[in-house]
Amino acid sequence: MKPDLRTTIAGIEMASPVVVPSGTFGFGEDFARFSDFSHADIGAIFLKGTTLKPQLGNPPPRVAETPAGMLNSIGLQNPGVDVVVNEILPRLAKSGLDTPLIANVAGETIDEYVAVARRFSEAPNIAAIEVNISCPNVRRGGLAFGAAPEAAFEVIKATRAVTRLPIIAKLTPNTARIVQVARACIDAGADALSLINTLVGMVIDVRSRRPLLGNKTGGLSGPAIKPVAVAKVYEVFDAVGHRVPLIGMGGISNADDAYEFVLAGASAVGIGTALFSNHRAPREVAAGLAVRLEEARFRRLSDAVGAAHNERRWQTTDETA
Amino acid sequence: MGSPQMDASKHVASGQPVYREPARVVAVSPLPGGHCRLRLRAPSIAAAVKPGQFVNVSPPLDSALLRRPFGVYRTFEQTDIELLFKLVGRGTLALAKVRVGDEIDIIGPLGNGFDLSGKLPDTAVLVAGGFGIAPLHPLALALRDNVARMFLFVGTEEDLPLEISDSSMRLSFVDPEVTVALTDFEALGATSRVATLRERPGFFRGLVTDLLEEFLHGSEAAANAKIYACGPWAMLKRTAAAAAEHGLPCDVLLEERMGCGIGACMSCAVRLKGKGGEAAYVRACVEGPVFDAAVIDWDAK
Repeated sequence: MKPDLRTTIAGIEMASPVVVPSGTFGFGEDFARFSDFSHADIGAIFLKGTTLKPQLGNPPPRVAETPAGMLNSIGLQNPGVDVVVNEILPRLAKSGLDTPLIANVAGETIDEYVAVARRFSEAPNIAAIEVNISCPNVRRGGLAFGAAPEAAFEVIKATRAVTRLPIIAKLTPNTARIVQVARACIDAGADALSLINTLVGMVIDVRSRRPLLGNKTGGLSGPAIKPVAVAKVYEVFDAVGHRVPLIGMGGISNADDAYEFVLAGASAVGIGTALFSNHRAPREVAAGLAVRLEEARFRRLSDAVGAAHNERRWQTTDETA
Repeated sequence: MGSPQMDASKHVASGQPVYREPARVVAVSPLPGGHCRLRLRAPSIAAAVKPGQFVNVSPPLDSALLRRPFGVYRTFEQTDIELLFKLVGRGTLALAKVRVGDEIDIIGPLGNGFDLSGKLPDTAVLVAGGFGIAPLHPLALALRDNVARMFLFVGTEEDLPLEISDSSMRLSFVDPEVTVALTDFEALGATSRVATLRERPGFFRGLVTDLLEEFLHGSEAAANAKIYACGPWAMLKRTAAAAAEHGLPCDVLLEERMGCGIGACMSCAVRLKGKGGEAAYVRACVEGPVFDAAVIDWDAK
């Protein structure tokens, strides 16, 4: 029998556990230009990080390919929450898109996070709010909130107070205290955790002898960071277990990659960088994941979540059969 | 409120679908001096691509993570496209090693392309820096029967870092390849001239933008000209300045670093001056790669 891939994240029922992370999918419309694209292959769309005011973004170059990865330094360029809520979201609604939309909220101050979250809460077609406390490419806010548990607690708590929507905290690997940050977010009311955001990196152009990116540093993504991401998901799952679901991401490009994250503790997986070279990756990964689960005789995805933590893991397959 | 260019809502597809094709290599000619000409069978893209649009190509065998954007050089009978490029890194090196019959994963057509609607100029002046010549060819083809005069100016040194230590790089570039490319253009009725920094018989000595300046100052045909340019940023910046000085319209095709090529990732940002001094970044892959030179903030790089 085909395993059941449905998953529930923060109360949102998703037909597929494969989601598209914030920043890799714009506001949901660009990939629809592909002649063979179907949003039905995606469990949820995490919209581009949105701030209260329009954000210009960082000077180019904003992207550099690195061994098995890429650095990006977009700097949260976005048209501001008013344009997103008043123009883009209604258009998405009108297009008949029924994939859950998750807003990604960013800011320089707690007040700004709160104001943006409040605006998104008024939109009829936002299913949840992801609080971006991990963007490495802005001077203020972002990472500053996600590296320390106290700051993370404050911003999640303040956001929690102004919205009824489920809250997802997006965590950074650029801290030694990811477990403490995760706990703080849950204690403050987060319903789910996304991890990981990108790792801070730099490329220096040896000809000009200057950092290549306009913003000097960028966020590293792609296969190069996958082992880091798997370790973080494993570590956080070890600490928080099933208190809240984890959305694992970082370098996933095929079903085996996704399966690793599930075994480490993820109830959903994000595919970002891999989309840029393969827009069919969500469909392929979901199909491949079903095969892997079936081979291991998991009847449903949720049975496999965190299975790598089982002490007698060589017997796992038989026990769950 | 942001400037209109920042509003993602304006960016939603021109309506043109993007195809992904397993493109079979029909011909590949690694050229002397580190260049390559690659012909691919990609019927959906070949039938739809407009002058100035590009394809985003996955280098073979996982040799690179991201696709590489290339302006289409020629199309054949609505079934094939041809790319002409310089080998500059991992992706292009791997692409030059493909063999006839191999399949390459490409997407396209992408970008806005040249605006050929409305009144076309009497005189079209095409200005290319190095292999910026490639995406100008389909433009020349489209202009051929619609303009009175067409000129092509090509500069060959600017993006050839090896030419100082190895003059054969430059010679091979000028001789076989640009000559072939120029023949393609001249077959379309373009009067072509090549600018080189070193003294060579038959060539203009100097930058291609010097050649352009000389033409704009000295030729009557320049009065009603429109300039179309592709090449390195510094060369385009000078071209834009020359056009502005002479009050001539100028379209530039920018070749920027890209992530997705389809508008989602915002990597290929181009800074516009914006009206009323309000700057904005737009995406070279959707709002471009062709821009009115007058709207670009040329000091941004």
